[in-house]
Amino acid sequence: MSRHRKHALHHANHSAANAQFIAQASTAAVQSEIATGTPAAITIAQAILESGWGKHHIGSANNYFGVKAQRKGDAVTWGSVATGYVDVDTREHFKGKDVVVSQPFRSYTTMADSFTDHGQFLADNGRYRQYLKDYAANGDARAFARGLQKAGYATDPHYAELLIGIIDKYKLDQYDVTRPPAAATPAAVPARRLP
Amino acid sequence: MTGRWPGRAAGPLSAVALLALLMFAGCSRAVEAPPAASVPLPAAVAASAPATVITDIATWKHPTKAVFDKYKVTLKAVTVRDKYATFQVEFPFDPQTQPNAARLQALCLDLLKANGSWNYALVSAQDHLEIDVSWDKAARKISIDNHPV
Repeated sequence: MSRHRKHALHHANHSAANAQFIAQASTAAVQSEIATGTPAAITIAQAILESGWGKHHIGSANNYFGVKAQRKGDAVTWGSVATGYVDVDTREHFKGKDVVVSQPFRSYTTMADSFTDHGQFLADNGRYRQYLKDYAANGDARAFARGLQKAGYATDPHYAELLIGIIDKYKLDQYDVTRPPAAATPAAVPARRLP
Repeated sequence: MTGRWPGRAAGPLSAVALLALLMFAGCSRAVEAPPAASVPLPAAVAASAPATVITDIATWKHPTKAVFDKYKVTLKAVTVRDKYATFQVEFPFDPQTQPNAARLQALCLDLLKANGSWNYALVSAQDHLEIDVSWDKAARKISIDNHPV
């Protein structure tokens, strides 16, 4: 097989896997928008970025957005949507020695639960409240992406552009439940009387 | 206040010791790590020890301040109870999101170093969040836990 053909085949497989992920994610994202008001297009684009097209979701925890569980002393809580938690250990270098950094993450039964909990996190968080209100009024997912960046969702200065680029490339706004208000048609504008 | 937490037990100081203490004031690592077994738990500490509250952050000197500056995190006040520091902060980023997780973890580890490996907490009123950072020296394990406040 020629190199060009191998590349084309790899691209086709990649595209098929991405399309499959979007198909799965869109169902979950629409459910999340209905429950929490978070734009479905944004949720899908964030899932693509944060889980690497669904490849990284903390294993069986089905956690696509790295949502943490809460621990105070020995008590661990995980909100009303998740069903438990997993401790995730990462290796770090601390003061010249290898150490383990341990953090608890929520675990979910399904992808849809993970998406809804993420939407609920945004809806409950004061940082994003105004942008969600705006989205409910104008149905503009791109404006919401810019709002996320302003509110500090990510420190990457290109985060909003990144989300919008994904939304445009994969036409994700077709999944948004909230629609922009219909533009005024010429017929709706009263005719101006000539003097 | 120059790098040592208030309330630490201190005996009478000789002139030499006093001079040494003054020379080390404001150095990059002013507090030593305690043995893991003696690290107080936040709940136990909160209930027992008297608190010292530092609100004049501009004149307060401590190695952790440089870390907060590095990460552009605003330090508003410090409460110290029996060597356990609670930093009231304002994050320029959401400390709970996945895209900011690496940044938050790096901040927590840098603060732990600057704090002489003493356990501590970060409290963000804006995010209604407390982040408890604890270091288990024997297990070589750092735990970063959060809960709502």
